[in-house]
Amino acid sequence: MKIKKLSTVFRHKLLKVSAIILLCSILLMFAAVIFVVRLSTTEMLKSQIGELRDGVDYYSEFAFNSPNNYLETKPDVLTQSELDDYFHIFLATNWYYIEQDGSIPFTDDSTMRGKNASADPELAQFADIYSGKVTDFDSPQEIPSADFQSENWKKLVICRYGDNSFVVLKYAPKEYYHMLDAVVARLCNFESVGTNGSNMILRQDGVIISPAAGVRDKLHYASSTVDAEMLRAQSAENNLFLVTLNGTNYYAMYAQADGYYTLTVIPRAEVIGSLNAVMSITAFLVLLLLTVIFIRINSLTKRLIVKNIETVNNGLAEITSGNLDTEINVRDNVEFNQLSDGINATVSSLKGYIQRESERFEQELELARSIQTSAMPNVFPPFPERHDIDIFASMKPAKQVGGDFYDFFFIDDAHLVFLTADVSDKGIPAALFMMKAKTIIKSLAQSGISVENVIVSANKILCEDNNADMFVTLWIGILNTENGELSYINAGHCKPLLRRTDGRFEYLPDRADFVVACEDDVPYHGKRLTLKKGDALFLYTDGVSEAVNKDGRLFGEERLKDALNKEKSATAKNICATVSTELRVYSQDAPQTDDITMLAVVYNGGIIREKIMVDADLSQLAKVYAFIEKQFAECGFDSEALAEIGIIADEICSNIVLYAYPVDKGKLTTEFSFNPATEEASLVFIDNGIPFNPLNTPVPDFENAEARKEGGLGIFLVRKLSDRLEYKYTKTQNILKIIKKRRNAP
Amino acid sequence: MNITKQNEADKLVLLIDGKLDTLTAPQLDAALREAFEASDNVEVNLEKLAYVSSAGLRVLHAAHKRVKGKGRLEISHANGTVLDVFESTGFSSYLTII
Repeated sequence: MKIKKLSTVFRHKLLKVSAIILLCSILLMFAAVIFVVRLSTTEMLKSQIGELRDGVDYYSEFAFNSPNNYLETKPDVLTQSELDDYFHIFLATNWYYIEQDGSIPFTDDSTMRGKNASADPELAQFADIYSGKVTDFDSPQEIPSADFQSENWKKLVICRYGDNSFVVLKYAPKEYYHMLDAVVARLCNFESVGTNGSNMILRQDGVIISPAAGVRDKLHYASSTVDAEMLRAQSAENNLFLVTLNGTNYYAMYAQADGYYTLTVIPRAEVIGSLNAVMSITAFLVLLLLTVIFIRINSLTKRLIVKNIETVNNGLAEITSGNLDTEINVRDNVEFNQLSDGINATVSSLKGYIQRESERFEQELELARSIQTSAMPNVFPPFPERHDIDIFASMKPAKQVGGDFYDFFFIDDAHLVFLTADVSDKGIPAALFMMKAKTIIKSLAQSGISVENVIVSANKILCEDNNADMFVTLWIGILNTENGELSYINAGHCKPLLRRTDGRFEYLPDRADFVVACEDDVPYHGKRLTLKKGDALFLYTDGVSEAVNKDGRLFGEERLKDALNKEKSATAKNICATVSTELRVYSQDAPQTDDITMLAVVYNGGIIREKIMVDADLSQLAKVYAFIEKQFAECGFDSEALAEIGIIADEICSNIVLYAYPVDKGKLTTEFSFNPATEEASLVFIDNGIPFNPLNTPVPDFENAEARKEGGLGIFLVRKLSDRLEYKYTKTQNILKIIKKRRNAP
Repeated sequence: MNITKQNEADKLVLLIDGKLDTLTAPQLDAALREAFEASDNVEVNLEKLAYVSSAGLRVLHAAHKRVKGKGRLEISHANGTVLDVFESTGFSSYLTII
């Protein structure tokens, strides 16, 4: 489900509620209007009916009171025929002359003549009046409503006739209506109900008596008869009901009025119509009111809740994105005040906690870093006594501890192992893995096996239990410093750069082998090359070539090569410093993304071996001396040392030339070698002459220089000026070895 | 090795430039003999001498013995390795080194 904004949800809900309220209020109003219409119409029609009934009653009373007035005087002689004439004017159906005792001596009803009134239920009811027990009575009796419906009713009129006799007149409906219709007919002629409504008077049989037919035709309904049964079926008396006459709906009400129905109708449309307008206006006002309320509530909600929630949310978003210094300040009301304070307090305590944790973490990282750094050789120069190798390395971790490492160490006097490596991760896990890799490689390399075996074995060991799925890229080389032979392996690492003595740095073009600690059975191919004196090798990790500037562009291999060739730095430290400077200039303030590790090796040459063989003759010695001087000078011996070497050479060579070959002249061989590692030069003089061990020569007597033999003097000087002397005689050869150490730095 | 002769008021100065070893010792020997024929006092200036080996020492020794009582051999401006050799071999106390 799509999540909507609070304001939208609120607006929708509010709109829904408003619509329901509107609908309910309209319905309610409609019901109220119906109710009011019914009520007012009922009231209106009731009063109409009342008036009408009163009118009918009045005329009926008037018409039937007249016999009473007429019969105030009673004739003395009573006969049937006289009375027939007399009562004929009352137009009654029957008349009865009743004595006090209820006997009926005279009547036009032959069935009752001479009988007692008690024989007729209609007449019997007035027994108390006949007997004089009741003296106060209404002369015209009301038509009982129950009888009215049956058409068997009679209008009874009782009149006092003389002192002790009564006359009862019976009017059947036919005679009754004959008496009254004409009177009642005028009652509704001139009255209308509302605009289009009207009153009517109907006979019990449904014949409309009033208004008169002519008047009735002007009313917009044209019916001439209304079925009285239908009216009665619709409703009880004095109740409002709806009736359809000629297709028009009317509100109607009827009542019985002394033998007649009074009916009053008003078109429903007329009543409702006026109220419809009221209702429309009211509905419109309700709608208007709701709209205003809606807008007001909506804007209030927006201002008081939605806006504040947005402010809080924006603050929270900022906090989530890492800015814990964000404060939320919504102070409009108590609730938001509490919320703001709550969030601020939470963030503040969180910040404190993070601060403490990060300080602790920093300390641990710092410790880890110092352990890691101390695990790598970091005292420079590392081999101050050696001048054949100049090595410098640096590692600048991106985070506190990195996965990069370098290492270098001698496994014996002649073999230097050096490497740079990069563990495929950062942080503590990478550092731990790095320590493991470094230790394994070093211990394997120190056993003196070939570089291939070192890496194949290291790979196998590192592959075991490598749960972290880390791997190492590395470049490792083993340099024989005596002859410059370098064997190396590139396991997925950056290609190093080699600078030959007289050339520029160029990338080693070899294809790299697979990384270490990934697959335990991949082959590694050792490569070989020979370093000459002055050659330099630069190793690095991808932190160098992939350093970025602030535009995110990589430093790159080409730029690295150019940086290295910018100036021809002689020492390893300077080579690294040049690259570091170039990197710093390039990346400026851009953050360092990876460990930056570099290692430079400058090979200052291995053991130099030269030799010269001449005839053992004075004429040849100049050549030998020149050779010796040249070799020593090239190895950086100073003039003082050269002078001493000159003396040594002269003493020994002249001795051989003059004394070694008393008979046949032989050869004089001079071998020179220099080991930059030890800074020792050796001069070996070989002859095939008579065996002669100069070391056996006694020390000359300087007390009496004048008197002593001069023979010991030369050997004395040789002993004095050389650092070591070794003599041996093998088969036919005198071999005298002189060691002369270089005292000055090259 | 080069030997330059210089006549001064009361002596002859031999300025030796180069190395005094087996190969050049005879040259100095000849020069000294010639010098002592010309003068009783001979000064050997070793300022420009790179080194001296026992062969050179022997030549100086021999000359010293030869002129003893007749003339005077002076060694001057010995320095560095040369002086060191003279001193360590005892020649400095035997020869006249100025």
